[in-house]
This record gives sequence, structure tokens and C-alpha cells, in this order.
Amino acid sequence: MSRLGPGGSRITVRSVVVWTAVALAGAVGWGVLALSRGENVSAIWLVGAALGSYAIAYRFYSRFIARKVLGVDDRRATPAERLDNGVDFQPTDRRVLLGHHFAAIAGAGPLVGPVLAAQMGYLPGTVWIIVGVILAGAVQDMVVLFFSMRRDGKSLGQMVREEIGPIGGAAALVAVFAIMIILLAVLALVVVNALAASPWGTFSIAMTIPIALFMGFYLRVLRPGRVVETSVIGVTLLLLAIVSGGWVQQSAWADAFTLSPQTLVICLVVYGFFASVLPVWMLLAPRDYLSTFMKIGTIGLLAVGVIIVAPVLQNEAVTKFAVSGTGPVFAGSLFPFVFITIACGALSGFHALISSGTTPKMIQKESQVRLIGYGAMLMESFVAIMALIAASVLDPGLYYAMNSPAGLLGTTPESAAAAVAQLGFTITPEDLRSAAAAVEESTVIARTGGAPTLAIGISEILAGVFGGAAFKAFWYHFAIMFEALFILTTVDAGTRVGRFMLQDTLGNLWKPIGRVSWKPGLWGTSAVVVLAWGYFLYTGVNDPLGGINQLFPLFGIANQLLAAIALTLATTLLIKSGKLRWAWVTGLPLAWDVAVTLTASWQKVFHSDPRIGFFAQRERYAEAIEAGKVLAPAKNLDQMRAVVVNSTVDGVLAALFAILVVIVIANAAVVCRRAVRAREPLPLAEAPYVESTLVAPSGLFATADERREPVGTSAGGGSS
Amino acid sequence: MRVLGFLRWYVRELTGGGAYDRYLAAHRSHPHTPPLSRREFERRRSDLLDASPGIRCC
Repeated sequence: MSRLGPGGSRITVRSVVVWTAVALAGAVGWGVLALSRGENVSAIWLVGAALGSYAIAYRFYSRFIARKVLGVDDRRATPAERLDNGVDFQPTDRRVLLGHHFAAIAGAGPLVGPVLAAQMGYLPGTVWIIVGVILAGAVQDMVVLFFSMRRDGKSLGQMVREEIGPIGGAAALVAVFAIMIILLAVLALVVVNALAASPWGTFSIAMTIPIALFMGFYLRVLRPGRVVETSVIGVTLLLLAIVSGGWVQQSAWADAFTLSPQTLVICLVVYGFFASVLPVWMLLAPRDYLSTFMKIGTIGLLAVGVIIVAPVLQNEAVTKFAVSGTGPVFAGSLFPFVFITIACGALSGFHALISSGTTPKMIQKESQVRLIGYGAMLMESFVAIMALIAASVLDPGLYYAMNSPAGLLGTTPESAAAAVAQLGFTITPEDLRSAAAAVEESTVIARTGGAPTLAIGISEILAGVFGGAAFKAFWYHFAIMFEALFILTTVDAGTRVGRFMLQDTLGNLWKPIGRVSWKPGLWGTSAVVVLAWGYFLYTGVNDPLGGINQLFPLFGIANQLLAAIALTLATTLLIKSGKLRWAWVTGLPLAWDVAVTLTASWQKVFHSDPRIGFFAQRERYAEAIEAGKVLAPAKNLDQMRAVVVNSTVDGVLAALFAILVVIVIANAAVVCRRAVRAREPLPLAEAPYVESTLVAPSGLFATADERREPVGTSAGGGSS
Repeated sequence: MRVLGFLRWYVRELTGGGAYDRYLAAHRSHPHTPPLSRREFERRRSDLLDASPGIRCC
């Protein structure tokens, strides 16, 4: 690798050879993907294309951004160094912080989106995940992390208010809150669809609550601070819960854990309320430890599985739905809908909230934004690639039988097989029965939401390495458990964060609500937040057209519009600080993201096809009600009315999100115009320069030069 | 051995297991008051989380 001297980089023969080899590996992967048509491709080429591209992008593009565009300066003290209070501001080892940051950004999102987007074939998703992360997603995460770090860890909303203006700031605040509600509802819907009518899954997930409570008690009372020990006990109990789920399914208890989607919604809402009002140590913190261990362990396991098994992709490269826009999983054509269906893994606006949250307050050195911001996002992108592989190793017939709405498939294997044949794919009723039997579920039909599909894909891959066909059911439920665990952690934390936002905002109107410890305010705001996402969850579960089909595009649009706000802020800050010539680095991804999301919003609001446009759908069903007709898949007039209400609410929300983002962009455009016209750079809200005395390496591995210097930081390595 | 040592250190740091040691080290430089016990320290640390839960993405 090249060594960095005081004057920049020195090119060595070794570095040229290594990077040429990496480039070749990536190019061969892409070449095979591009040239294979009509034959089945091994997943290993996808892995090669991804890893080769990531390595090149990290080595060259992220370094360019760090040095030229942002101008990171390791002589400048970071907020962690200046404001170190041992609590939230604390210089943290870069590798530890990378782990924290990755655990915070990666969850079920990169696992679910690619599974749904597999409807368009594996190629569009692959290209978007890899190109999107390199040029947009990782850039956003890194740049927002840098700007927040320069402002003592201010949040996205605060930065928009201070650097763009109060109107943009207010719009951003409302957008963040609304987007969070939709996100929580859609994620919870994924869990409900995975657990409904599955006593094994429901039992295992229900057991995580007593396990977490026990861990919380153990950490608080019995062995304070011994997190590793507690987590080992917790993970062991968790694995036991997965295994015993199989026994419960066979026993007389099975009925007690066979819950309808409607019951599950009530359970989740009640659980979310308690998770929000109980102290963090009881439920939230222990769950978070469990989820982090499971996350890192399972993702590692899956990477090993994919590389050893090198499964063959059964999916087509590009399906007919990419052009026709008539796919059963979600309606609409490739542009713009692939780009909003896959958010996490390529470009996710939600990450901007994490990059402007705790991470910037813990970073030791400015140059580490490259490893933590850009690097962690590349890792998430790889998770998305693995999810895409897991969905694409399934037989397409099975994929569509699992992911089409129940209204289309009916409830019997025979009706589902017939519906799949209508779509142009083949699967026999016997195949559907044996697929369900292999994972010991009662049915695999219309198990929408992505989680069950991914779980079957993961069970195919992992059973190929560990345990064989007999272990398929275990791996299936292991995967379901791990996804549900991620999602419930997000729902817990999201409800709590949403409650704080609401308390903070309402506190401006009436003081007592703002006080975090005032119980009625705490209960009231928690109830408002859980009921808000609970409403969308409930309508999603009962929607005759399929909740995922209706709500997932809304979730994708919301997430990508948040990215538009983050990239607008980043571009404005580059222009304000006199770096107009580098503004394309965030400006181009912004232009692309705005084109995608506003097209998608426009189509969801105004499209004349009732499968795509919410208002066209409303019109169609409202007219049928007038005429006293019932349109399939609705079965009666009540369901017809439900469709009318849902499509109205969803359409209004899609329009609202788009308007809020347009307000932020318009406000930013005014500021940018002023900045370009001004002779000198406009004032920034940056914290003043303070000389740093801290020494720490900047990349993942310390270079030879860095090793010669003492590493004077808290986390010195070795065991203590 | 070095890899194992690193892993042990890493997991401990990742989970905040080393926070109390760091607190004691920082406390030694201004020892006017006796340091908090581990139980008290961890209790305060987790109670601080109540007011600022980390946001989690999808």
C-alpha cells in the first residue's frame, strides 16, 4: 500500500500491483454479470464485482473526498477531544466506533429492500446497490458525519435551521418525524407478516422479552457493567428459544402462539409503548446488546456461507416487470421504483440522523470520517448484496408465490400455483407444500414483506454449509428471529426517539411536556407515537391490496427524501465554504435522488394507473362503491371503503413529503445563490479551531509512520 | 494469541465494558473525592441513556 508522507502520497510498485489486481477482480465480476444472458450465473461473480468496486472506491474516491473536498485536518481537535466529558463526548478508538456506527446504521432495511427489488431481476438491484453506495450513500454518510463533527455533533435538523434557515429547518423537522412514523410502521409490518400464523417464530420472538428483562436485571443488580458475560448468557438463551420454538410448534401450546396479524399488531403497539416508557436498562439496552451480537454474527455467517456455497442465481438478470411496471410485489417500472425500493444499502437518508447523532461526538481524528462514514456504509452495502443473492437463489415461481399479495394468490397451494402461472412462472402445488414443510411452516403463500423470502434463501445457503437439509427449519427460524430482533430494536429505539422529538417540539408550546421526567407528558407523547405508527401498521395488515405493496413505496420515498434533505445541506455547506468547484460531489447524487424521488412521488400521487397512483386508485374504488359494485381483491363494501381511506391517506402523505423537501431545497437554493454572489465565503456555524494534542491512526490499520508515533488515546489495545 | 487478545479487547470496548476502568483512570488525576463504586457508576451511565437513546436505522 502506498505510504503517506508529509507531501501527500508516494506511489510504490507494490501498491500499483495490488490495486491493479483488485481492479481486475472487480472488472471480471462485472464482465461476467454483463455478458451472461439466459444462463445461470454463480453468486460469486456478484461478490467479486461488489468487493472489487468497494475497495477501489474506498481507496481512491473516499480519499479524494476527505482531502480535496472536505479538507480534513488532523491538527484540528475534534469535539470528542475538546469537550470530552466521559459521557457522550468521548474520544473512542476508530475500530470500536466503526462497530458502533455500523450496528446503528445496518438493520433489516438492507435485507428487505433488495428482496423486494429482486422482482426486477438481480442486475438492476446489483448495479444500484454498488454504484449508489459509492457515489451517493457512502458520500452522504461521510460528508454529514464530517459537517456534524465540525459543529460539535449537531443534529441534521439543527444544521438545516442554522445553515439554511428557519423555514427549511421547520420543514426538515416535520419531515424527519413523519418519515420516522412511516419507517416504524413498515418495519413492524415486516415482523407481523413474518410471525402471523407461525407459532415457532412467535414463541421465539416472545421469549426475547423475558430474556432481555433478565439480562437487564443481571446487569443492573447482579453484575453491573459485565456486558460481555451478560450477552453470552443472553445469546445462549436466545438460541435455546429458537430451538424450543420447534418443540412448542409440535405441542399443545401451539394454539396459544398462533396469532392473527390483527392480534400481533395490538401486541406490538402495547410492547412499543412499554419499551418507550420503561427505563432503558430494563428492556432497551439489553435488547440492543443481543441485537448487535446477532447482527454481526449472522452477517459474518452469511458472508462465509455465500462464499463457500457460491450458490447459482435462479432469478433472471432483468425481468419483464422492469419494463412493464406490472410486477405483483410492487407496482411501477424500474425507474424510479427500484431506486426507492432499495434504500438502505445504496442510499439511505435515515443514516444522516445517525451520522449527526452520537458518532460525531466520539470521533478521535477528523480523517477517521473516511473509515467510519464511508467504510461502514460500504459494509452495509455488502449486506444488501448478500440479501439480493439470498432472494435470487430461490426458484422464481416460489419467489412470486411468497411475495405477491394474498388477494391475488388466494389461500390454497392450487390457487397460488394458478396465480403464479398467470404471472408467467411455474410452480406446482406440491412444490409449495414441500417448501413449507421443509422449513416447518404451515404455508409459504403470500408471506410478503421480504423477511420470510430472505429466511428461506438464507436457510438454503446456510444449510449447504452447516447441517444440511435437516437444519433448514432451524436456519429459517434463526433468520426470522434475527430479522425480527433487528426490527424490534429499531421500533423500540425509534418510538423513544420519536417521543423525545415530540416532547421537544411540544415543549416550545407548553413547557411541562418538554420535561423528560414529567410522567403524564412522557406517557401521552409515547402513546401518540405508538398510535401513529400503529395506525399505519393496522391499515397495512388489513389492506385488501396488500400492506407491503401499498406502504413500502411510501417508506422508500420517505427515506430517499430524507437523503435529499441531507445532501441539500451538504451541498449548501460546500458552496457556503467557498468550495463551489467541488459541489458536484454531493450535488450530483442530490440531483439524481431528487429526480428519482420526485418522479416516484409524482407517479404515486398523479399516475392514472390505479395500481400506481394513489388517487387514481381512490377514484376507481369510490366510483365502484357509488355503483354498488365490489372490485377484487376486496370482498365486501367495508373493504372497498378501507381501500378508499387508505389510498387517500397514502396519497396525501406522499404529496406532503415531496412538498416538505421542495421547501428545504428552495430555501437552500436561495442561500446558495447568495453564497455564489458574495465575494467572500458566507459565515458558517462551525466550532472554532483548536489545536489537537491527540495522536491516533486514521485508517483501519495503522501505517508504519503512524506506528512510530505514540498512540495517546484511551483505548490502547491489549486486555485490561 | 495476539488476535485473541485483540478480539477480547474489541468486544469489551464495543460493549462499554472498559468504561469504568477509564473513569477510574480519569478520576486518579483529581482525587478529591473517593471514586464511585462500579455499581453506582454503571447505574448512572445507564440512566444517562434514558435521556438520549441512540437512534437505530432500518
